[in-house]
Amino acid sequence: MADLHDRSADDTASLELGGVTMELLNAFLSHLSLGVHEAFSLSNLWYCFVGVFLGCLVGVLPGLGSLIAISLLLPITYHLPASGALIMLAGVYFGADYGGGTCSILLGVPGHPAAAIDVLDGYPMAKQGRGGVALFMKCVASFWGSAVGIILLMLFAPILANVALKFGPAEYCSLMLLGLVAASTVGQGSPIKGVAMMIVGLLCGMVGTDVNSGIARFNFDIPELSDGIGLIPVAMGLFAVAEVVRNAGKSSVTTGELKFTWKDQLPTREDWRRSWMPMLRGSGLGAFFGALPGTSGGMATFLSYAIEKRVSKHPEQFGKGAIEGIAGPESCNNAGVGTAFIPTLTLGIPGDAIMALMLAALVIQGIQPGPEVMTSHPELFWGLIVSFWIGNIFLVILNIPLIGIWVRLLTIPYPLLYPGIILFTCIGVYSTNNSVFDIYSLLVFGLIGFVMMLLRLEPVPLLLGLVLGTPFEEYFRRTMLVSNGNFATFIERPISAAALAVAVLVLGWSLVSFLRRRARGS
Amino acid sequence: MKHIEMRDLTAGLLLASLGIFVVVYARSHYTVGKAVNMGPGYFPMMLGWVLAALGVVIAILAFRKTIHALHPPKLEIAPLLAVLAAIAAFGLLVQRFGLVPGTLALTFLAALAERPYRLGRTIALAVALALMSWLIFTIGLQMTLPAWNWGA
Repeated sequence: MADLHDRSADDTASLELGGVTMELLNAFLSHLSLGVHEAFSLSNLWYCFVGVFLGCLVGVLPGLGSLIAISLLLPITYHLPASGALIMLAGVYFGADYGGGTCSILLGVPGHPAAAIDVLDGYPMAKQGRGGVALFMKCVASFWGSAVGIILLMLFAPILANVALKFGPAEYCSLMLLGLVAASTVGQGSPIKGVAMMIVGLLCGMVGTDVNSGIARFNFDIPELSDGIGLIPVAMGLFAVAEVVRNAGKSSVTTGELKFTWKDQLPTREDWRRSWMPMLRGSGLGAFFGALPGTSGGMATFLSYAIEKRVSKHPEQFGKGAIEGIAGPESCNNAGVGTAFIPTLTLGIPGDAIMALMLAALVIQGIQPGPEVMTSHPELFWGLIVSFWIGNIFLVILNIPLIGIWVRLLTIPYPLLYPGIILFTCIGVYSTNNSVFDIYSLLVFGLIGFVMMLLRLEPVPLLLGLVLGTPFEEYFRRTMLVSNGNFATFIERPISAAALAVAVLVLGWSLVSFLRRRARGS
Repeated sequence: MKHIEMRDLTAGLLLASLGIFVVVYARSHYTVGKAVNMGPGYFPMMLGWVLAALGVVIAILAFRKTIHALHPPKLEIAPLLAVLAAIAAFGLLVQRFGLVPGTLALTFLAALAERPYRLGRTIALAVALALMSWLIFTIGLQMTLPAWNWGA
């Protein structure tokens, strides 16, 4: 470890980059064939299929987004081999994302926040009897966006991983801080509250045995807490339970006639003509923002929507069923998914809560996330990438004929649905460690999650903080050890300084825009 | 009349007191140490200070008028208690008595969130869920979750 710190990360990286790239290009094809071999194994194909199917199933249900779908299904993957587990979870992610859009388009109720954009034009299209077309276009745009994102992931992840191998603890520390700050300030609410919740998350990550001293911290004499706070009960409590508490007892959504045949889904030539440019623009935008922490999903898709509306010759049609309003944001969203995996898999720094759960899945499998993953487990990385392709193809195949089933699921009234959601959440949490304590943690974090909703505090930064708490402290401690307690080391090392500068910029920009929003209100 | 955003004030004060609590707790229970050789209390204490400061800022900003993008739910006690009681009951019952009793209790309690309480529908739902969870988890996924556990 020591020699890693002594080298200046920056110049070694840039010197070796040229040679390394050539080497990587040569290795690329052999890696790809390794991935094809891994992903096309019968068991992994099956996991991918099951993941996509279950993801669609959960995602379609109102109020259950990809985040809840992944945390619900995470415990099931414990018994699978590492690559199978990740492949299945990625399938769940793609599936749930698609399913959430179904709910938005047909009911006008976003299944989860990221699908909110589909409501704007998808729901009007559904009311005009063109819901099938909207869904089909969403499917195509998702596929296109995913393809762009995956190609970028294939190209850039190996390069970044190679650079990252030279990073010392100071670089990791600053990059984590950048990720945390970006993810906690770009939400809809106050950036100050976001950062505060991120700190609360880091503090939750402190609970448990300290790696350096072996002392159990903040366990308040509860023996179960010496292993730390479980990520699954927190994620499910903050998102699933709090959401159920919010929605239970309200008059549920009533659905109109939702019937359409296979043929109703086919877009016209005009639809295609209007959609391909937005898809191109959207995927470029999404790919860029997806790689930055915190900005994937919500923000980038809204930006894409705004751009499409601006460049369109018929901006007045937006919000009344313009197909561009589906095609652009949707490909943007999925391109971001692919590139969001770049920092997650190469640096071990997740950009959003879903990537944090993916990292948690890796850790549960006994794999330490970081740049070494690509070299020590190449079959895992490349198998996952190839399975992204397979998963997206499954998604298209599954959805076009099965749309009728998803539509019927939408008509289940909420009072019949939410006891089942609570039950599956409880069983999922329990099965993690066969521990009743985890069910009580779920209860506590469900309550905390609801109180946070009441106080307009966002849960995503807390979850990210919880995941990064231990590694962040560890890297910080090591940095200080190496630098003799000199904080200036963070700005003396160029990569670290750059990351910190970006973090300050992001923080400053979001603060200014937030305060300005306040001022305008008074 | 001065406008005070009560939700922000509460959030700020809560977070600030949590921060102070962490600082005090960390200092009294763990060695803090110096930056070059941090004790187990150093990092939590640092975070505690930052949290306390942010909490104060949030509380102060509560005295300004604001447009909010987030829409908080109404505080309704019945659904909250019903859902939490359902989870607690499941936790109490699942290991001692088995999956089926846990599921039944959970469903009946969770349904209390709905007004009016529809007994017939709830019974049908409870039975269906018990059957489903038993088939999926005990039989299908082979988890160590016995359906009934009267003996223990």
